[in-house]
Amino acid sequence: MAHNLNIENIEEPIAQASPEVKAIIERVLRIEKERLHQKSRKYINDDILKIVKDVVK
Amino acid sequence: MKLLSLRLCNFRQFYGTTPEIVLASGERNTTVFHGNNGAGKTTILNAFTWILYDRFTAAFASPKQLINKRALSELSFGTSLECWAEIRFEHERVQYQVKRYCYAYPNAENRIDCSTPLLSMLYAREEDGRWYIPSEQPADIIQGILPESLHQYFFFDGERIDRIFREEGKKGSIAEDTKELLGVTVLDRAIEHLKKAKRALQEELKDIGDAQTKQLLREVGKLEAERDRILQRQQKMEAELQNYEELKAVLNQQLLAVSGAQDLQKLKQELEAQESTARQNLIEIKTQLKRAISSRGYTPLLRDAIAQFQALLVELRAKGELPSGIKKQFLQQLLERGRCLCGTELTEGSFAAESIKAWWDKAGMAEVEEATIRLETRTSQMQEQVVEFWEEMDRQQLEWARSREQLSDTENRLEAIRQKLRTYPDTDIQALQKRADDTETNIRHLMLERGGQNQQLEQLKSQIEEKNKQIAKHQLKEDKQILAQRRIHATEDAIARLTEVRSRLERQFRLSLEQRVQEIFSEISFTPYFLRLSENYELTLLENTSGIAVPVAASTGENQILSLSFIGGIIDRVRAWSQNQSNALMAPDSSTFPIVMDSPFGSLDEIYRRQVAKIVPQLANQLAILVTKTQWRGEVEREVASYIGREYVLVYYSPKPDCEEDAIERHGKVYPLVRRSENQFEYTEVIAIEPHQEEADF
Repeated sequence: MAHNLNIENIEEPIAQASPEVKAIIERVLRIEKERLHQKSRKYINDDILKIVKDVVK
Repeated sequence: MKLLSLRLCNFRQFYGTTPEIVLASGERNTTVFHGNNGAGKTTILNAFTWILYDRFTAAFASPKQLINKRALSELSFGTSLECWAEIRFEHERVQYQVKRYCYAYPNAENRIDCSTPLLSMLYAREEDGRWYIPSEQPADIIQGILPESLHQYFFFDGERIDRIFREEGKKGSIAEDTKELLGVTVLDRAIEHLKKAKRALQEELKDIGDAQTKQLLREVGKLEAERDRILQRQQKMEAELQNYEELKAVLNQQLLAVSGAQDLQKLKQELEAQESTARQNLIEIKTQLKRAISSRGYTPLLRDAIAQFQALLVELRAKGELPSGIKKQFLQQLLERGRCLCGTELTEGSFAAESIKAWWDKAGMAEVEEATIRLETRTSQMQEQVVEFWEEMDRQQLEWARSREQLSDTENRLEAIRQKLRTYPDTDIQALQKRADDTETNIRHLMLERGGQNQQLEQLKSQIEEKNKQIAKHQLKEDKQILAQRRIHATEDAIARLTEVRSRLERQFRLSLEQRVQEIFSEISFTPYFLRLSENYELTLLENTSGIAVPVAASTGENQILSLSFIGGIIDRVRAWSQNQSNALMAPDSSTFPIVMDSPFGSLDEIYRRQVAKIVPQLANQLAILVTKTQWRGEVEREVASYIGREYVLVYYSPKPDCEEDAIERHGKVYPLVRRSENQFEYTEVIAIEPHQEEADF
């Protein structure tokens, strides 16, 4: 059987981030994934800027 | 994506509406479609790709004529005819019904017009079972579940799978497709958009920052613009390089086609492959050398220090100072207790107490002695390491020289062949070789330029980092500035972490994929070949009988097995990755993949057919195979039997009066494969085969 991907090692940089940075990463990845296949990707830059400002106050 | 069923209406050979073709899943995950040539096996495969992506496979003839001819002949002016194909599938506990349809109607000149195909979708949640129309575009929903760019891995023609990987220009896209499936594309986009957010935040800081901050930010902006300019140039160069590589391949093909030069050209290609492998070997040896020097290169430099240390130990032991007879801790305890071992009181200033203190400078420290013993053990280990280090250096240098010699020999032979082609008594061949030489020169120049740019990029990167540190150090007084700075730092940190995740994911995934593809390939193939998966996901077969890895010119059959192993490997590894992610932030939601495969055993011989038949139902969660009687008989039937959940016969009705009827026997019952048509049209009916008792009980 092929050796398994070391998931913990791959995600370690996210797991070890400060709570603020972790929240930014998770929210950004979520909207990127939702909109990956949508033809209209307008406003995504504004939304990501908004995420950073929402998390870091 | 779990496929549930398929229905067709007036679609190609299928006149009228077919019964619902339910697809097997679970432990008996295989659906078999039996059909003779022309019965519609390729049509079934293309029904899937048409519904989901409005695409057809290369073997699908006249894709514009989708509507059944017999149904068209029954059309009269003022009426219209519907042609459609519909799939039901399940994803994440939601059922979807997807239908692509078009209409045909006779116009005023009594010619048939066809409407543009349209796509419709309904979905039902598990909890209430009611069907709804989705608010998003159906095509976007399908893209999110199983992206179009990847459909060739799940719906394909077994006789042509080797072409997926051999066609020039496709190789780069395979890497891209795989990265999308893995979630690397999501990471890339997140990094790209966070960089833009960071720039926007820096602009905001410029507006509120003090003079020095503004100056530093301007400098960072300039450096970043320079970096972006180089990166854009690099992207162009990558495209140019790819074009030259493609041109090189075309010229090589043309040289192969010109009579008289084939043998020289074949030899040239073999040598070019050897040259590239030898270069790869040299890079690997160099990497190992660097690694050994950076991790253990200090050991020979410790020789004098170790000798000094050992001489010091000998001297201390000769003097009796190591180990010393008496310890400072012991004297300390006596003084604290105020009484000697012999019972004499040790009052402050008394003769006895002073005598004890006089020993102080002669006494040893327990910690020093322990540390000395540890150091002694460590230094003797280091002396052994020095020997091992030099042995490894010699071995690697020898290997390097051997590979260098091999490369130089290959280069000389290659140059001799090119020279022969340049002076060949045929102007066409001379001209082609000249163009090949020019292309090689262009590739070399671009590579050199790329090397120089990479160095520039490194420098810029460190300058930008330095400036950012200065900005961070700069004291900010205003609350707003502090907040803007914090946001910039958090964004930078997020970018750095995502970049690291991306590189770890790619590296680990590629290695584990290579291993899995190798396992599947070895299980099917009896050759001793092993494979390598490059960073661009290019698969190369190698053999190592002479002690040096050389590329193998794989046969069509080997290439088909290699492609099948790759598809199986991708499905297996992506499934593992999306199932095991602690939070499904990157990878697709889908960990269930179907495979629909026409002519699954391509042009394989008996042994390979058996091995492929044994392994293919295990590659994906669901398998649908479309087979002729000859492809099915014997070893394939035996190997697949225990996986079959559903079986269908595509009965072909032939309008030829003298057509030869044919049939297939399944579980003691005879089913027709070819029958006489009762009219002048050919068409196909789908009949479900009654399951074997064991399957029925299942």
